[in-house]
Amino acid sequence: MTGTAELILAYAIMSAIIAFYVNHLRSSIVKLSSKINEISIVYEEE
Amino acid sequence: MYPDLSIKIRNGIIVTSIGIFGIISTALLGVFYAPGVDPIAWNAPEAQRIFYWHVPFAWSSFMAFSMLFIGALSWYRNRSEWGWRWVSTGSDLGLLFGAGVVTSGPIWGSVEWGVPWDWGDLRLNTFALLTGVALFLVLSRRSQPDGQETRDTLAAIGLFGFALVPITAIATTLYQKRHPGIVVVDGEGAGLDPMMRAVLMFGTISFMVLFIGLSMLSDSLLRLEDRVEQAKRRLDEVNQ
Repeated sequence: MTGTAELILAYAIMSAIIAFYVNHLRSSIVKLSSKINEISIVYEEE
Repeated sequence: MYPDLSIKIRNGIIVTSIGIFGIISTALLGVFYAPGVDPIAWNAPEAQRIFYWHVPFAWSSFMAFSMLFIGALSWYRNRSEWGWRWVSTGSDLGLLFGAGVVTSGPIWGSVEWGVPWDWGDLRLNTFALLTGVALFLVLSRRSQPDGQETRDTLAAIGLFGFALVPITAIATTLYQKRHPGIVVVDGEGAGLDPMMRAVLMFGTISFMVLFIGLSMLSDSLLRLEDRVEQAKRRLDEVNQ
Protein backbone atom coordinates (compact mmCIF):
# COMPACT_ATOMS: atom_id res chain seq x y z
CA MET A 1 0.00 0.00 0.00
CA THR A 2 2.95 2.33 -0.60
CA GLY A 3 1.79 5.81 -1.47
CA THR A 4 -1.73 5.63 0.00
CA ALA A 5 -1.16 8.64 2.27
CA GLU A 6 0.19 10.65 -0.69
CA LEU A 7 -2.79 9.56 -2.79
CA ILE A 8 -5.24 10.84 -0.17
CA LEU A 9 -3.26 14.06 0.32
CA ALA A 10 -3.12 14.83 -3.41
CA TYR A 11 -6.86 14.24 -3.92
CA ALA A 12 -7.64 16.32 -0.81
CA ILE A 13 -5.57 19.27 -2.04
CA MET A 14 -7.00 19.15 -5.59
CA SER A 15 -10.56 18.90 -4.16
CA ALA A 16 -9.88 21.86 -1.86
CA ILE A 17 -8.65 23.96 -4.81
CA ILE A 18 -11.82 23.25 -6.81
CA ALA A 19 -14.05 23.78 -3.75
CA PHE A 20 -12.34 27.11 -3.02
CA TYR A 21 -12.94 28.41 -6.56
CA VAL A 22 -16.56 27.16 -6.73
CA ASN A 23 -17.26 28.84 -3.38
CA HIS A 24 -15.57 32.04 -4.57
CA LEU A 25 -17.84 32.11 -7.67
CA ARG A 26 -20.95 31.31 -5.60
CA SER A 27 -20.34 33.95 -2.91
CA SER A 28 -19.35 36.63 -5.46
CA ILE A 29 -22.46 35.99 -7.58
CA VAL A 30 -24.72 36.11 -4.49
CA LYS A 31 -23.05 39.33 -3.25
CA LEU A 32 -23.28 41.11 -6.62
CA SER A 33 -26.88 39.97 -7.20
CA SER A 34 -27.96 41.45 -3.87
CA LYS A 35 -26.00 44.63 -4.62
CA ILE A 36 -27.70 45.03 -8.00
CA ASN A 37 -31.11 44.52 -6.34
CA GLU A 38 -30.24 47.17 -3.72
CA ILE A 39 -29.22 49.66 -6.43
CA SER A 40 -32.43 48.93 -8.37
CA ILE A 41 -34.56 49.66 -5.28
CA VAL A 42 -32.70 52.94 -4.57
CA TYR A 43 -32.96 53.90 -8.26
CA GLU A 44 -36.73 53.31 -8.27
CA GLU A 45 -37.18 55.31 -5.05
CA GLU A 46 -35.30 58.27 -6.50
CA MET B 1 -31.68 40.34 -11.49
CA TYR B 2 -31.24 40.40 -15.24
CA PRO B 3 -33.18 37.48 -16.81
CA ASP B 4 -30.46 36.65 -19.41
CA LEU B 5 -27.82 36.41 -16.69
CA SER B 6 -30.09 34.38 -14.40
CA ILE B 7 -30.51 31.77 -17.13
CA LYS B 8 -26.77 31.71 -17.80
CA ILE B 9 -25.95 31.32 -14.10
CA ARG B 10 -28.54 28.55 -13.73
CA ASN B 11 -27.10 26.71 -16.75
CA GLY B 12 -23.57 27.23 -15.38
CA ILE B 13 -24.61 25.70 -12.04
CA ILE B 14 -26.15 22.68 -13.81
CA VAL B 15 -23.07 22.06 -16.02
CA THR B 16 -20.68 22.58 -13.07
CA SER B 17 -22.70 20.14 -10.92
CA ILE B 18 -22.54 17.49 -13.68
CA GLY B 19 -18.78 18.08 -13.94
CA ILE B 20 -18.30 17.76 -10.16
CA PHE B 21 -20.33 14.54 -10.15
CA GLY B 22 -18.14 13.25 -13.00
CA ILE B 23 -14.81 14.08 -11.35
CA ILE B 24 -15.88 12.55 -8.01
CA SER B 25 -16.90 9.40 -9.92
CA THR B 26 -13.50 9.46 -11.66
CA ALA B 27 -11.67 9.59 -8.32
CA LEU B 28 -13.74 6.71 -6.96
CA LEU B 29 -13.24 4.66 -10.15
CA GLY B 30 -9.52 5.46 -10.16
CA VAL B 31 -9.03 4.42 -6.54
CA PHE B 32 -11.39 1.44 -6.23
CA TYR B 33 -12.02 0.11 -9.76
CA ALA B 34 -9.01 0.74 -12.02
CA PRO B 35 -6.28 -1.91 -11.85
CA GLY B 36 -3.07 -1.09 -10.02
CA VAL B 37 0.38 -0.89 -11.58
CA ASP B 38 3.15 -3.44 -11.22
CA PRO B 39 4.30 -3.11 -7.55
CA ILE B 40 7.81 -4.25 -8.49
CA ALA B 41 8.31 -1.71 -11.29
CA TRP B 42 6.94 1.25 -9.30
CA ASN B 43 8.17 2.59 -5.97
CA ALA B 44 4.72 3.80 -4.90
CA PRO B 45 2.06 1.82 -6.82
CA GLU B 46 -0.91 3.27 -4.92
CA ALA B 47 0.21 6.88 -5.43
CA GLN B 48 0.10 6.30 -9.20
CA ARG B 49 -3.71 6.59 -8.95
CA ILE B 50 -3.20 10.34 -8.48
CA PHE B 51 -2.88 10.58 -12.25
CA TYR B 52 -6.66 10.09 -12.83
CA TRP B 53 -7.02 13.71 -11.71
CA HIS B 54 -3.50 15.00 -12.30
CA VAL B 55 -3.57 14.42 -16.10
CA PRO B 56 -7.09 15.92 -16.68
CA PHE B 57 -6.08 18.85 -14.45
CA ALA B 58 -3.09 19.45 -16.76
CA TRP B 59 -5.22 19.21 -19.92
CA SER B 60 -7.82 21.57 -18.42
CA SER B 61 -5.05 24.06 -17.65
CA PHE B 62 -3.96 23.94 -21.30
CA MET B 63 -7.57 24.67 -22.34
CA ALA B 64 -7.59 27.60 -19.91
CA PHE B 65 -4.32 28.97 -21.33
CA SER B 66 -5.73 28.60 -24.87
CA MET B 67 -8.78 30.56 -23.74
CA LEU B 68 -6.48 33.23 -22.33
CA PHE B 69 -4.58 33.39 -25.63
CA ILE B 70 -7.73 33.69 -27.79
CA GLY B 71 -9.12 36.33 -25.43
CA ALA B 72 -5.87 38.34 -25.51
CA LEU B 73 -5.82 38.21 -29.32
CA SER B 74 -9.42 39.39 -29.49
CA TRP B 75 -8.70 42.18 -27.01
CA TYR B 76 -5.81 43.41 -29.16
CA ARG B 77 -7.66 43.12 -32.47
CA ASN B 78 -10.84 44.99 -31.61
CA ARG B 79 -10.81 45.72 -27.86
CA SER B 80 -13.74 43.38 -27.42
CA GLU B 81 -15.29 42.99 -23.97
CA TRP B 82 -15.72 39.26 -24.47
CA GLY B 83 -12.01 39.05 -25.27
CA TRP B 84 -11.16 40.62 -21.92
CA ARG B 85 -13.64 38.33 -20.13
CA TRP B 86 -11.86 35.36 -21.75
CA VAL B 87 -8.49 36.71 -20.55
CA SER B 88 -9.91 36.98 -17.02
CA THR B 89 -11.59 33.56 -17.03
CA GLY B 90 -8.60 31.91 -18.76
CA SER B 91 -6.14 33.26 -16.18
CA ASP B 92 -8.41 32.26 -13.25
CA LEU B 93 -8.90 28.73 -14.55
CA GLY B 94 -5.25 28.47 -15.64
CA LEU B 95 -4.23 29.23 -12.07
CA LEU B 96 -6.86 26.88 -10.62
CA PHE B 97 -5.89 23.85 -12.71
CA GLY B 98 -2.19 24.75 -12.82
CA ALA B 99 -2.08 24.93 -9.01
CA GLY B 100 -3.67 21.46 -8.87
CA VAL B 101 -0.98 20.08 -11.18
CA VAL B 102 2.01 21.68 -9.43
CA THR B 103 0.83 20.47 -6.01
CA SER B 104 -0.26 16.92 -6.89
CA GLY B 105 2.80 16.29 -9.10
CA PRO B 106 5.42 16.87 -6.36
CA ILE B 107 3.37 14.79 -3.89
CA TRP B 108 3.59 11.87 -6.31
CA GLY B 109 7.22 12.67 -7.22
CA SER B 110 8.33 12.72 -3.57
CA VAL B 111 7.18 9.16 -3.03
CA GLU B 112 7.92 7.73 -6.52
CA TRP B 113 11.17 9.53 -7.41
CA GLY B 114 12.32 10.30 -3.87
CA VAL B 115 12.39 14.04 -4.67
CA PRO B 116 9.35 16.33 -5.09
CA TRP B 117 10.84 18.41 -7.89
CA ASP B 118 13.47 18.06 -10.60
CA TRP B 119 14.97 21.42 -11.51
CA GLY B 120 16.52 19.86 -14.60
CA ASP B 121 13.23 18.68 -16.13
CA LEU B 122 12.01 21.03 -18.86
CA ARG B 123 8.34 20.03 -18.59
CA LEU B 124 8.08 20.58 -14.84
CA ASN B 125 9.79 23.94 -14.93
CA THR B 126 7.99 25.38 -17.98
CA PHE B 127 4.66 24.29 -16.51
CA ALA B 128 5.48 25.94 -13.18
CA LEU B 129 6.43 29.09 -15.07
CA LEU B 130 3.11 28.96 -16.96
CA THR B 131 1.20 28.68 -13.67
CA GLY B 132 3.31 31.57 -12.36
CA VAL B 133 2.18 33.69 -15.34
CA ALA B 134 -1.47 32.86 -14.51
CA LEU B 135 -0.88 33.77 -10.84
CA PHE B 136 0.69 37.07 -11.89
CA LEU B 137 -2.28 37.87 -14.16
CA VAL B 138 -4.85 37.05 -11.46
CA LEU B 139 -3.07 39.12 -8.79
CA SER B 140 -2.48 42.03 -11.20
CA ARG B 141 -6.13 42.08 -12.28
CA ARG B 142 -7.19 42.30 -8.64
CA SER B 143 -4.62 44.89 -7.58
CA GLN B 144 -4.52 47.27 -10.56
CA PRO B 145 -7.27 49.73 -11.53
CA ASP B 146 -9.24 48.41 -14.51
CA GLY B 147 -8.53 50.40 -17.67
CA GLN B 148 -7.28 50.06 -21.21
CA GLU B 149 -3.59 50.36 -20.23
CA THR B 150 -3.86 47.64 -17.59
CA ARG B 151 -5.75 45.38 -19.99
CA ASP B 152 -3.18 45.96 -22.77
CA THR B 153 -0.28 45.09 -20.46
CA LEU B 154 -1.90 41.98 -18.99
CA ALA B 155 -3.12 40.75 -22.38
CA ALA B 156 0.46 41.10 -23.71
CA ILE B 157 1.79 39.01 -20.82
CA GLY B 158 -0.92 36.43 -21.52
CA LEU B 159 0.12 36.27 -25.20
CA PHE B 160 3.79 35.75 -24.39
CA GLY B 161 2.95 33.27 -21.62
CA PHE B 162 1.04 31.14 -24.11
CA ALA B 163 4.30 30.49 -25.97
CA LEU B 164 5.15 28.15 -23.07
CA VAL B 165 2.15 25.90 -23.81
CA PRO B 166 3.55 24.08 -26.89
CA ILE B 167 7.00 23.94 -25.23
CA THR B 168 5.50 22.29 -22.15
CA ALA B 169 3.27 19.99 -24.20
CA ILE B 170 6.08 18.61 -26.37
CA ALA B 171 8.83 18.83 -23.73
CA THR B 172 8.37 15.17 -22.78
CA THR B 173 8.88 14.02 -26.37
CA LEU B 174 11.82 16.32 -27.12
CA TYR B 175 13.52 16.32 -23.78
CA GLN B 176 12.43 13.40 -21.64
CA LYS B 177 14.11 13.29 -18.29
CA ARG B 178 12.00 12.40 -15.28
CA HIS B 179 8.38 13.19 -16.12
CA PRO B 180 6.47 10.21 -17.63
CA GLY B 181 5.55 10.44 -21.34
CA ILE B 182 2.23 11.53 -22.79
CA VAL B 183 -0.25 8.83 -21.87
CA VAL B 184 -3.47 8.72 -23.88
CA VAL B 185 -2.11 10.40 -27.00
CA ASP B 186 0.31 7.50 -27.49
CA GLY B 187 -0.79 4.52 -29.56
CA GLU B 188 -1.29 0.91 -28.59
CA GLY B 189 2.33 0.64 -27.59
CA ALA B 190 1.83 3.02 -24.67
CA GLY B 191 1.27 0.08 -22.34
CA LEU B 192 -1.72 1.67 -20.61
CA ASP B 193 -4.28 -0.91 -19.48
CA PRO B 194 -7.63 -0.51 -21.36
CA MET B 195 -9.50 -0.15 -18.06
CA MET B 196 -7.09 2.55 -16.87
CA ARG B 197 -7.42 4.29 -20.21
CA ALA B 198 -11.26 4.19 -19.95
CA VAL B 199 -11.22 5.74 -16.45
CA LEU B 200 -8.76 8.39 -17.60
CA MET B 201 -10.92 9.23 -20.64
CA PHE B 202 -14.01 9.44 -18.41
CA GLY B 203 -12.05 11.77 -16.12
CA THR B 204 -10.92 13.93 -19.03
CA ILE B 205 -14.50 14.33 -20.29
CA SER B 206 -15.73 15.11 -16.75
CA PHE B 207 -13.06 17.75 -16.30
CA MET B 208 -13.99 19.27 -19.68
CA VAL B 209 -17.62 19.53 -18.50
CA LEU B 210 -16.44 21.10 -15.22
CA PHE B 211 -14.23 23.50 -17.17
CA ILE B 212 -17.19 24.60 -19.33
CA GLY B 213 -19.43 25.03 -16.24
CA LEU B 214 -16.83 27.08 -14.37
CA SER B 215 -16.20 29.19 -17.49
CA MET B 216 -19.93 29.93 -17.77
CA LEU B 217 -20.13 30.94 -14.10
CA SER B 218 -16.95 33.03 -14.27
CA ASP B 219 -18.20 34.79 -17.41
CA SER B 220 -21.55 35.49 -15.70
CA LEU B 221 -19.74 36.89 -12.67
CA LEU B 222 -17.71 39.26 -14.85
CA ARG B 223 -20.87 40.41 -16.68
CA LEU B 224 -22.54 40.93 -13.31
CA GLU B 225 -19.59 43.05 -12.09
CA ASP B 226 -19.89 45.13 -15.24
CA ARG B 227 -23.62 45.67 -14.75
CA VAL B 228 -23.17 46.66 -11.10
CA GLU B 229 -20.68 49.31 -12.25
CA GLN B 230 -23.14 50.53 -14.91
CA ALA B 231 -25.98 50.67 -12.36
CA LYS B 232 -23.79 52.62 -9.92
CA ARG B 233 -22.91 55.15 -12.63
CA ARG B 234 -26.60 55.59 -13.53
CA LEU B 235 -27.46 56.11 -9.88
CA ASP B 236 -24.69 58.71 -9.53
CA GLU B 237 -26.01 60.55 -12.60
CA VAL B 238 -29.53 60.64 -11.10
CA ASN B 239 -28.16 61.96 -7.78
CA GLN B 240 -26.21 64.80 -9.44
